Parts: sequence; structure tokens; C-alpha cells
Amino acid sequence: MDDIIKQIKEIKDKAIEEIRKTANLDNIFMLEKKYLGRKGEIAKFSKMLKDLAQDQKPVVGKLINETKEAIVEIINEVKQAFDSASTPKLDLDLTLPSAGQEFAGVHPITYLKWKVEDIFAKLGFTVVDGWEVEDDWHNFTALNIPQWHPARDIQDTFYIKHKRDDDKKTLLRTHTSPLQIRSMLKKGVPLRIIAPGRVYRNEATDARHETTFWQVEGLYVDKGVSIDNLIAVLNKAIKMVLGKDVKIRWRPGYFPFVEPGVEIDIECLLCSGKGCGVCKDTGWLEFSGAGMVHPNVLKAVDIDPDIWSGYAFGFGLTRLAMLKWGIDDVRLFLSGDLRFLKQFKK
Amino acid sequence: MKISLNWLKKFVDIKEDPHTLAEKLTEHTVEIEEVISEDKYLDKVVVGEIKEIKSHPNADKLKLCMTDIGSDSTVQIVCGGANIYEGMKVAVALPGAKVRWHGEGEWTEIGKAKIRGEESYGMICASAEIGLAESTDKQEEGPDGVMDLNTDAACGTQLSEALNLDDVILDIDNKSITHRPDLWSHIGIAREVSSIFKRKLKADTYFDIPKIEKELSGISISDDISIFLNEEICRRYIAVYIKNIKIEESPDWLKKQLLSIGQRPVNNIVDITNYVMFEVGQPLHAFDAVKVKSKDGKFKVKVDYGKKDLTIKALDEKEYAADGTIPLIYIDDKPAAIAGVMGGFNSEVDNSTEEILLESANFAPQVIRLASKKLDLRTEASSRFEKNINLQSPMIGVWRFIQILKEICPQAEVVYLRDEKSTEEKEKEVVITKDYIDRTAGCEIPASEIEGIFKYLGFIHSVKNGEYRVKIPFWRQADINIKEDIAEEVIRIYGYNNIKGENMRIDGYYSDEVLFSVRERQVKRFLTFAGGVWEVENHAFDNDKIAEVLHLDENRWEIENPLSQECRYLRKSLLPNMLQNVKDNLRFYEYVKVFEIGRVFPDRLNDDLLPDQPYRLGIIMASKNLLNQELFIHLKGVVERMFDYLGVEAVYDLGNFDGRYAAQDQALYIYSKGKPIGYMAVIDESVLKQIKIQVPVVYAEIDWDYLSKVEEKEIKYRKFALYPAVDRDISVIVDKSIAYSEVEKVIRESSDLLESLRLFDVYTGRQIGEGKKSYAWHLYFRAEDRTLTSEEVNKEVDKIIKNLASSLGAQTRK
Repeated sequence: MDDIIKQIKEIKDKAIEEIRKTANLDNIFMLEKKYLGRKGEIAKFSKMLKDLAQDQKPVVGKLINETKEAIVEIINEVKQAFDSASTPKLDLDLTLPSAGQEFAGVHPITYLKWKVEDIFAKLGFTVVDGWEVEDDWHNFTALNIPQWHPARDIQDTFYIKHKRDDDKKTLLRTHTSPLQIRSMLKKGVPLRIIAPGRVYRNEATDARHETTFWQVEGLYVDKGVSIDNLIAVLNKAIKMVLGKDVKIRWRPGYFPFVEPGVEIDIECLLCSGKGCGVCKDTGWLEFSGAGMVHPNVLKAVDIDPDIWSGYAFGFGLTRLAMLKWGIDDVRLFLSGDLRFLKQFKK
Repeated sequence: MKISLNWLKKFVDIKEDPHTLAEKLTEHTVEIEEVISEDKYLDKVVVGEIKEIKSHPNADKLKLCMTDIGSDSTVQIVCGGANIYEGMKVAVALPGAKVRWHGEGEWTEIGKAKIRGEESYGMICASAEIGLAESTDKQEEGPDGVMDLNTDAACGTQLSEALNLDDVILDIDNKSITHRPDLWSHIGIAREVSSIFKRKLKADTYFDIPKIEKELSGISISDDISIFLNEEICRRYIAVYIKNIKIEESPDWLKKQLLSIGQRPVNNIVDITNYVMFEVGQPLHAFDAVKVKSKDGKFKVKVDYGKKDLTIKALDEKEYAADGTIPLIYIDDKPAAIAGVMGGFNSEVDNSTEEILLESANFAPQVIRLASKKLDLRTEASSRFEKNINLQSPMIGVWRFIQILKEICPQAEVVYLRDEKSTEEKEKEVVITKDYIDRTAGCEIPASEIEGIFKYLGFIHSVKNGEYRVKIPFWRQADINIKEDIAEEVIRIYGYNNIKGENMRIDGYYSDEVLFSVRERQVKRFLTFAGGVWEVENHAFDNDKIAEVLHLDENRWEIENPLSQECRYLRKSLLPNMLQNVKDNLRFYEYVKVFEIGRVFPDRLNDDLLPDQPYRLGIIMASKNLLNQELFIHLKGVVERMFDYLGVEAVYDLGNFDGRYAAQDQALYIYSKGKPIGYMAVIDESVLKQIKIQVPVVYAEIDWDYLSKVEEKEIKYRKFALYPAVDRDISVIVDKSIAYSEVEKVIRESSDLLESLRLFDVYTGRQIGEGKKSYAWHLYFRAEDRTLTSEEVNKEVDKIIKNLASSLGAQTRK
């Protein structure tokens, strides 16, 4: 019996050594067959069992099993080693440029308009839109700008030619303020709107002047609206657009459709108030005109100024874009030039 | 408008430094655009005396001036001044001083330099070179000369000291005072300063009409002056006859004061009229009395419109057509001045004038404004009259003129005057409550504060039961009418920056409305991110040349007063401007893909005042590397997917295209809910040739008013198919002239079991013959209630092939 035990142990050692030394996977399968196969080395010992004494059978049997398990284990171990070694190594360059279609961007004015819309939406304002050709009444008369008023001087206007000679003139709107009138007529009060849109001035173009540019109009009409409400909302909105540290200055201003009228300056974004060419050494930039809606404007749309009051404001979106991105030529906005537009992947 | 700080100080104490004053005025009254110290650039500029002039060895026009600059030092300065002489006192900019070469451009620091080989210690300056062109009399130095100081000041004295340049000028933004005629004067600004700082105004008489009238009461009123007023033009006219005038140069203080605000001195009489205008805001005009007097020695003044074909030569020696709407002053029936705008040349005060007729009047603002616009002649007088000066002002003007005249020209004798009015000003009173002011401001302003503001602004008021009855002073008649105006006065002086802005009033605010256009954002995001198409924005003005080539130039909206030919018409399609975008960008890019959402102005067929101005979405693509077909398919892909993404139904079909710019039949209409809402087209090559674009261009235009509002289709969940699909491939050859959509339509209509199909090959070539085209598809068949058998599917395929053959003459490709 000792002899058989010795043989088993020798086979085990031999098997383990051979398996360990194997250089390729095919040999492993061969060795697996050689030792563990039906006619393999271990199987030979199992066949010998029946010839052994009854009391020896369990001892040898147990040894055979243990040997088998040991060999299986070592084979699996080596197989696994081969497996991982034989998987080809990934050979990628993750630093190559990305592929896929290039995406484009919206116009910088659109991007800024959305930003402004979002901010005022949070403050409860609804966006309205209107025609670019307006009549004289909506653009001037209803806004308390009578026929002879000097304000019509400041705003040199493009008029539309009509076939018949009519004193009811139409024109390219000179500001977004006609939307105040149209919104009050259409929606009534209380009302809280903003109106971004294109406006027109009949002036020669150069780097600082355009016939066409963007404005945003705002209007809030309700009971007991005050200047404090206006200051609160506009200060908040300006800080949301330009950052919470921007300095804001309120001062009197004159617009026929508001009374009291104010102008809002912001600290020059380029020189931080120190004085530079852009702010003409004042340290301030005009940002917005505003005020309490003039009673004549409310009366023009049959709203009783003794019951209702409101504020209105307007600011230049194109101008804001120029300040925000340091654009020095206003004509670029309407140039369609992709060298300009492609800088705003927004 | 320029305001002199020294002048202001005559009326109100000012302790603050000029910048603080400017800030306060900006925050409470008007925007001060600039604060200019007269000595701003005179830091190292001193008085020097030219002791000796030697010629420059290397330059004919330059001289070497040995110049005494004080402290016992004489230096050599190279100078080209045409007017220099030995013993001349000059302005010397020492090394380190800032000068502006020839009075233009940037300020630069000068150093010791060699000029054509000769040392020059600084520079002898012309007035413009040290920023004094406006505040000195440049005529004296001539075009190529330098300043002749003609001063007793010792050499080395600071120039600012020698010239007494100690004033500071505040430059006011004229646009911010168009509604405030009272602020077009030093006295008006002084009252504001007094109100802002709550400081006494030392100019009571200026605002006290009864006192002024009393002071003038000694002057007799004579019928020797007759005045006829056209009420439309003139509301008040005071004429004063003054004798024993001696025309002289004005005294230094007067010249300096006028120069400080950029006004050139002329002579004592003209200078006084100007001084009074800048001080109290009332334009005056002096006629040479001898030149306008009638033969009988009387003055017959008439204010009326010009007669037909009349012209008048004004003080600027230009001839103006003065017919119809131009208001004139006729004296003795001869036109003597353009009323409120400019005096006449023939009645001008000159050096031999000995007696004058002084005019102090009030003209209707609209009339003056129109006249000034029509004549293209804006003067200090017209810009004041058009702001609506108050009716008392002419009397103040006369009072101040006589006061100063007596000082400067004591022998002058005021003989008589005549004061004619065509209207009376009514006293105005406005009632306002403290509560109203507080509600408007949104904060409480103490009653004492309100009443103090009233006092300093000159608003006489009474209080009863919390109600203020405010009398509007005469100088504020034009701009104060209603309680809102009074509230503004109180709040601006109180200070907008003292209102905290605490209540946004947005708590609990809810709106049923859509806050902004979500569809706009969807489409623009889709086109840019998924389509790679850039957004452009173009003018509403049409591109005339391209519109003409495209035949899009008929019935357009026309501008009555265009700035130039480029902005004469409004676009009726986005296409012309977008083709220009393509053309411009092809210079820099191989592939141009842009879109625009903008308003267009459709055919103006009748004369509706305000026809619809619809929005359109235009998408244009051009490529140097793609063929028309490929480019079009790409555009179509972007458009189709956009509709898919939006969930808006769209059907594409060939139709009779009505635009003449698409290549023959190369346009596809887009229908939604049965209505055409746009098209896609290949731009005709001959059109492109005319506008010099050499590559394929495709364009889509869609009705944005529809697309931005149409509801998206609802998505309905469907159960997955229970039975498998069976697929078959087929390939057919058809005539090239048959549109693909026709072929696909036949296939779809041939089988109810056909679930979907996918075109995987298109071929033209010799193998299949001239004028032929072959297509190959994967066809997918499926039934909802069973697994299809092979026989069933074969039958369907046969049906399809048979129909293709019978209706389109298609051959099956084996």
C-alpha cells in the first residue's frame, strides 16, 4: 500500500511540475488528458482501488481525490494565466481629435435675448412680440409724443411710402415702446411684459451707428406700482445679466411717455469706473431709460390713471452685446459674416 | 451746453470740488458729460519772452528763438511761428509738458529735442496746441502763428496764472434738457445747485418780475415803436430804443467769460446780448437803429411769415429762402431778421453804430423749430426758443441788458420801449398730496423734505389737510403741468439713489401665459446643434441687386425717406440677403450653412396701412465640394428631421414652383395639415451666375408664424409587434424621368402587409442603359395577428413588381 501511496505522490509532483512548465495552452489540454483523462494516470490508480484491502480503500481513495483536485486546480490556474496573456492588448490613441459633425451656434443677440427672457420670466414678465412697421399713433402719439415734439427730432424715422396721400403715416418703429400700447390694448391690466425686438433709426452707419438694432422694452401696470418696485426689479435684472457686483446709478432722465423719468447707468465694464474712451472718461455707461408710465399713455388706451399706475423701461440689447463681448463695430451683427458669428458657439 | 463754474458761483456758493458738483447735478438734474479745467494741459507751460531771433541753419521756415523763461535762464527754442518778433511774450511748453501737434490728435509729452540739427528746449505754442483754441482769440495769431500773450506777467509765470485761467467748465448733455427751457442758462443751473445742496440762491431779482418791472418803470413807453404780431409766431415782443452807443471791444472780464464757454467776443453790444442769453436764457438781438428806422424816425416792427419768393441775407452772409413757413422780423416793411433764428446782414450792428433797437421776444417753439430745420440753421437762439421759453423772460432779458450796458457803456441812453403781447400766461396751480408722492416713490419722504424742495425750487405752496396746492413758477410753465411732474421734482431732488428698491412685487405672481417662445429655442437649437447650421440676422432692407435677379423686386414696401439706395425697399423674402451671406462667406469657407428667422414684407398690392408682416424661416446651404443632388439631400435631411423633432406633420411633394429662381422643377413643397407651408429649392445656375456664385446653392423657406404656433403631434404608445417581420430585397429599373417619390408611392400602395422599406442602392450607368435608373430596397412585411408564410410574402412582392411594371414600366433587376 505504501508503494501505491508513494506512486500517487510522485505522479502528483510530476504532474504539477509539468503543468507549471508548460509553455503553451495546447500542451495544457494534452496534460489534462494525460493525468485526468478517462485513461489517464489518475484513472489508473482508481482502477487499482478494487484490489486493495478494505481498510486501505478509503485512505487511498481520499488521496486520489485530493490529488485530482490539486491537479484540476493547478490546471485552471495555468489556463487562466494563459487566457489573460493571450487577449490582445488594446492599442488605442485617446488623444486623436474627435470626430462627428461640427455643431453651429445661434446669433449672439439671440443668445443674449434668451438670457434676458429667462431672467425676466423669473421675475414674472411675459415676452411679447410685434410688427416692425408701425403706425404713427402707436409709435408716437399714444406714447405722449405729439406731432411737433422735439423727441421726434432725436429719433429720425424711416417712413413708409403710401400710394394715397394720407396723414396716417406708417414707419419702421423707432423703439419697442409701441408694444406697451399694443399689449395694454390686447391684454388689458394688470400686465407684466417684456418686448425684445428690432428698432430702426434713420442715421448713417459707421462703427458705432446702425440703422437697425435690438431693444428690450419692459412694462408693468398694476395698482400702486412705485419707483421702488422699478428700482428693485431693474437692479435685480441688471445684476443677473452683468454680475452681482456691477455698480448701478439712477438719475433723472426725460422721455415723454414716462413721468417721473429716469436713466440708469452702470459702472463702465471696460475700465471699472476709472474712466476710458468707451465711457468718455465718466466711469459710467448709459444702460437704460425708464420711468413711471405717463398718465397720458394710460389714457390713450382707456386705462384710468387714478386707479392704475405702472413703470416702463427700455434698454439696448445690441449695445449690451457690444459691452459684454467687447465688440467695437456694431455693423458686424447684421453682416452675416461667419468669421464673426463662429466666435459665438452659443 | 457749457456752464462756467465761476459764473455759477456768482449766484450760489459752491464749496464742493467740480467733480462732486458734476456728480450731484447728474444724479439730480442733468447729465454732466465732461468736467474741463481750463488749465488742464497747462502744467508745464510758462510765459516766456523772445529775446533774440536767429535763422535756422538747415531750414528756411524755422527760426532759433533765444527765449527768457524766467529764473535767469534763457534757452534756445526752434519755432516756425509766422508772427514772432523780438520782445514778444509767448507761451512756452517746457520739456515734460503735454501738447497736441497742430491742435489735433493725441496729447503727447514733449522733451528736449533736436529739430533739423538744432537744440530746442521745449516749444513755443499756438493756442490750439495747448488746448486754448476755444478760450482765446485765435484770430489774433493767424493761421501759422503762435500765441502773442501781450502780458505784463513776468517770464516764468505759469500761463494759467498769467491768463487768469482758473475756471472749470461743465459740459451738459443737451439732449437731457430738451424739456427744460429754464436750464439753458447759468441762472437755471444755479437754482438747481441751490436746491440740491439746500443753499441760498443769491439772485432773487432774477425771479422777481414785479421788482424787475419796477426797476424798468422809468423807461417811457412810446408809440414811436409800433409792433404787429402774427399770433402764430410771436407771443411777446419787447423793443427798446437806445442811443449814444459807442461800439468798442468788451472789457476783459466779459470777453473772458464768453471765451470760457466757447463764445467768440465780437463787440460790446453783441457780447452783452450773448452774455445775457447764457446767463438768463433769453436770446436778444440788437439792430442798428439807423439802418431800420423809417423816414419819419419811427420803428415799425412786424412779425410775420415771409412772403413768396423772398430771400434774406443773414448775419452769416448767406442768402436764405424765406417764403411761406419762415418767420421774419420786418422793420419798416423790410426783412430785418429771421425771427428767433438769426439777425439780418443789412441791419447788423457794426463799428459805426451809434444807436440800437434791442429785441427781446418770445417766439412759438414749433414755428422756430420748423424754420430752423427747414433752413438747416441751428443757432443758440433757435435752440432755446424751440424749447418753449416762458413769457416773462423777455422782460428779464431787457433788464439785464440795460444793467450791464450801463456798466460798460455808461453814456448810453435808453430812450423808450414798447412791449407787445399776443397772449397772457395763466397762473397754474397743481394739487398733490404727500401720500401720492410717497406712493409714487414707494418710500416715505418726510414732509419737511418735500416742503424744503418746494422752497428751493421756487414752488410757492400752501398745505391743507395733507394736500399741497403748488403754484407753478413762471420759469417752469413749460414742463410742470400735472401732479406727476411735481412728484418727479420732489423725488429727483430727494434722490433716486436714496430709494432702496426693496419690493420687486413678484411674490405669488403667476401667469397662465407661455413666458417665451419655446419653439424658437427648439428650432434654433436643433438647427445649430443637430444641423450644424449657423444663425444669421440680416437687415429688413432688401438686397436690391439680388432681388432684381431673382424677380423678387416687384410690389415691395418702399421707404419714403431712405438714407441711401441700400435701404430703399423692405425685403419680401429672406433669400436675397441670404444669398449675399453665402457669397460673402464663400470667400473664407468651403461650406456655408446658415439660417435666419425674420420678418418679411409681402407684395404690397393694395394700400392697406398696416398689412401683415409675417415671419419666415430661411435655411440656405452652399458647398464647394458637393453636387446639387447631395447638397439638396442634406438640406432635406435637416428639414425633415427638424419636423420630426418638433412633432409637426410634414409632407413633401413636387409642385408647380412659382418662384423663377429655382432650377426647372427643382423645388419641393412642404405641406402640413394639407396646407403648403414652405418649400425647398435648388437655386437656378443661371441666377447664381448673375450674382457671381459658382457653387451649388439650395434654399428652404418655411412659414414661421405657422411653425412657431402649430401644436406638436401627440405621441401614442403602441405595443410591440407580436409576430416577426419577414424581409425581401427587390431591385427595379425605371426611367430616369420618374421621380423617386412616385416609385415609392406605387410600392406602398401595392401591399397592405408592407410595414416599411429602406432604399439601399441607387444606380445609373451603362449597365442598365441610357436614361434609366435602378433602385434597390429592403422590404419588411408583417401581420399583426400571425407569422407570415413565405408564400404570402412572395405574393405581396409579386404584386408590387407587377404594379411597378404596369404603372411605371419598371423592369425587375435580377
